[in-house]
Amino acid sequence: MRVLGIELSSPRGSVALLRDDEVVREIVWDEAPRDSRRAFDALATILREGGVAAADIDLFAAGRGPGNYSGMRVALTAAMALAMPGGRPFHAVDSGAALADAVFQETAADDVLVAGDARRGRCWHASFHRAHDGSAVAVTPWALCDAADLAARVHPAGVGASSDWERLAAAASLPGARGAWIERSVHPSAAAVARRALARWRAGEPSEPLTPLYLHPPVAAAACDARIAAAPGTA
Amino acid sequence: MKVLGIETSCDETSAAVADGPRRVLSNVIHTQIAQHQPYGGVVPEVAARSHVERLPGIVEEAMRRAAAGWDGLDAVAVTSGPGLATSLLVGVAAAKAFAIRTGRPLISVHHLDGHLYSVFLDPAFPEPLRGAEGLALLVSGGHTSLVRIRDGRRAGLLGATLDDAAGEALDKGAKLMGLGYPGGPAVEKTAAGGDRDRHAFPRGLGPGTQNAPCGGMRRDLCFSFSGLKTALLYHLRGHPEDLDPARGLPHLAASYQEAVVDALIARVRRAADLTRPAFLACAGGVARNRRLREKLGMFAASAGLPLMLAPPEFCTDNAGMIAAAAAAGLGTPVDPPGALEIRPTWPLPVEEGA
Repeated sequence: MRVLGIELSSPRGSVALLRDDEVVREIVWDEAPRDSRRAFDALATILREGGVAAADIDLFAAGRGPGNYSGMRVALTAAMALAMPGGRPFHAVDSGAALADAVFQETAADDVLVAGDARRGRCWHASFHRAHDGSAVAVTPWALCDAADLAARVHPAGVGASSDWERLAAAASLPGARGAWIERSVHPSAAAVARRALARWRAGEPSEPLTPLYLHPPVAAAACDARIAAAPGTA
Repeated sequence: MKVLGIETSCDETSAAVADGPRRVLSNVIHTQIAQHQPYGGVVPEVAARSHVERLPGIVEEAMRRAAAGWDGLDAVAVTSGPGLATSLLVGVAAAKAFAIRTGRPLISVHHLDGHLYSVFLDPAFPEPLRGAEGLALLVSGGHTSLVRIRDGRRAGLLGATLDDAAGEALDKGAKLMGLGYPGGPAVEKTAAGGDRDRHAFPRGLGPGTQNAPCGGMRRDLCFSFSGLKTALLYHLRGHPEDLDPARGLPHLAASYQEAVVDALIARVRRAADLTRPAFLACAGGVARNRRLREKLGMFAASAGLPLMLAPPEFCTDNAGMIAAAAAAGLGTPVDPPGALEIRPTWPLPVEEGA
């Protein structure tokens, strides 16, 4: 069973090839959202070095965020297009859960709050708990909160983590705040995305929705109302 | 040569399969008009989200309608610019992945070359004219250009708008008149029966704009519509009663539309005098405007020029024109496919000496 994972929602992009549960090769690079070309270079390299063609992949997986919009879109669209000819399965995977998997591998914590700067004084967040097999299970859905309220949402015995620590720390004034934070960026990896997709596929479960996880509406409601009201001649 | 084409440069999600340069087997288009209507114009973020959601189903439908198996494809073509960056990114990512997955070449196509080529998709296009020199007016919501055609492809840019596109002027005018979005069809519908000469609106680049920079193009072949929109705004401040649908609005819409059409026709006439083309062509979303078609027809008849209009199904943004243009050799192969970059701004080269 060959699985290809693509994860571009955080500042660190990655593409991974798995043979069953084993990572054959993973390529990781920084500045992912600004350079989608790297994703396709990495994809070509992984296939070439792995000695497989895209047609040989049995399952495709992509991180659906939350995170960088362009990264999420490129990852999902590319994985969809790779899977479509031949009708191969394609799973979209919560990138925050993949990040939580990394936290549980690195620390002894059983609970993690995954968060990011959502701009406009807001943060996005969700809580995950360590399951018996060590993987992350969501215990709260993704939501937005005021940046000032973020620190209080970390489980008393858990940790907080972000794929863009410096930005989140500045936005939410985190250093010195209540709760333990991993004070460096922790990234969701393409390997973790692929593993989660494989587990779900093996269990016979359908994919998560094949769309990016957006936590903001496409247009701020207040801005939209103001624009419409300002248009002369508009009732 | 079977080509899968993908077009996501603005607010239409489209996929198509062309079999050679003249035969479009399928051309599936999802328009996002309803999603943008509440905002009175295209919202890039709304467009990008819709492309991601819709593109897979659109591609599957295009392949199904064409009865073209993936193994039967010879190439993948995509609009890589100009357009909205966040929209282009989706189509280009898909095209790269399709090319990698199928092992077929990826062809990058300039959006305006696709529109230009759409006139050649008219089955009635006279064979002797296919290789002749022509003059094309490309007119849409995002572009307004005069282009010389030679051997079925762009030979050089003669003139272009210096600010708003014609379709944009119609959208903005419609918004000021409270007619909704998209503006072109709304203005055209409201203008029916109105007096086109009731109000005198500017035709762009008047005597006060002698020093306007024209990017190396002849000033008298360039367009400007921003003053028209402002003139309408000031007119409405002084005459709000003209928004009365029963009395003033049809005349206002007709006069405004006439100004847009006149501005286009005046430059076409000048360019035709200068370049002496063998035929006249018009493509793009605004090419569906009946008044524009009528006046282009009148001018073409008076000048003795055959008028070739893009078939209506290829006027709005569509992947059929992209796939066919690629099959005709108008695009640029990109190897490896992953190297293709989007070009949100991609000006056409100005024809030297024009």
